[in-house]
Amino acid sequence: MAGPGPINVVGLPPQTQTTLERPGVRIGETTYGPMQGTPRSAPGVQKNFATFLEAQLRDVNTAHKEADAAVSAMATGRSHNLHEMMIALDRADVSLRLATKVRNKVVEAYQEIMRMQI
Amino acid sequence: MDFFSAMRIASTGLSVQRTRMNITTSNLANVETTRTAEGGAYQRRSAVVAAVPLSETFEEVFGDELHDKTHGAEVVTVTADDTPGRLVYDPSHPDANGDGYVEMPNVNPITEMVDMLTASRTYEANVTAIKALKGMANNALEIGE
Repeated sequence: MAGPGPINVVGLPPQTQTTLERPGVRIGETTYGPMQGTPRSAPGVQKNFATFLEAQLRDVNTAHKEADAAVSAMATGRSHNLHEMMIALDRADVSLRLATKVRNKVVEAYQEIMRMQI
Repeated sequence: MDFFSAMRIASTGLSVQRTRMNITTSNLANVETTRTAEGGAYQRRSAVVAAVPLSETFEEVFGDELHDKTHGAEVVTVTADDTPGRLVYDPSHPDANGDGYVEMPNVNPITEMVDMLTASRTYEANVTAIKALKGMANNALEIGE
């Protein structure tokens, strides 16, 4: 097994060994930011969580509006893309699920802190 | 490259198969058509499908190499098959030529049925891909539980 120092992933040849370190998670050659899909900010500029959450919620809202538009286009006969409507609905569904999960996590963390003994 | 780009790719696949189905249906409907706007018997139509990159935004095109390697599908053109159709002897037919032969469309219903089957199965495969992707996304959301 891995000795002291960075954590090595077992089973990979030494030259492609994955080391987990901060900041971000480095896998192979690619460095992934804290969250994929967020605009890459300049180094040193720290975005706060509220801004991120707001942007993501706006995305969820957009996905729902798109799904709504697709359904009404289908119902009024303007669109004949049944599958695109279903995909828009799926997209809205998955986005909302993600938003709900994030909300739950935040509330959980808040409650954890509120339970702290002083 | 997120789940939704993969869904977009599958969606182009669905569009292509639906178009193929339309073309096959048109061929089957015109299996006895001897008169067309272009003159002569109906010619069998078939779709030409091309791979198209799905990168949309500047960030996608510039930043993510993966996007250059994944492609959606698109029907770029519909071609007419100009091989001569079979000649049927029927002098009483209004479209018969001087020798009494009528040129029938070059559509073979058996080939069309096979095409229809392929289109419908490929459509199913793309739907399965979308379902799998949705399942993956939902599974990913269960990580935190």
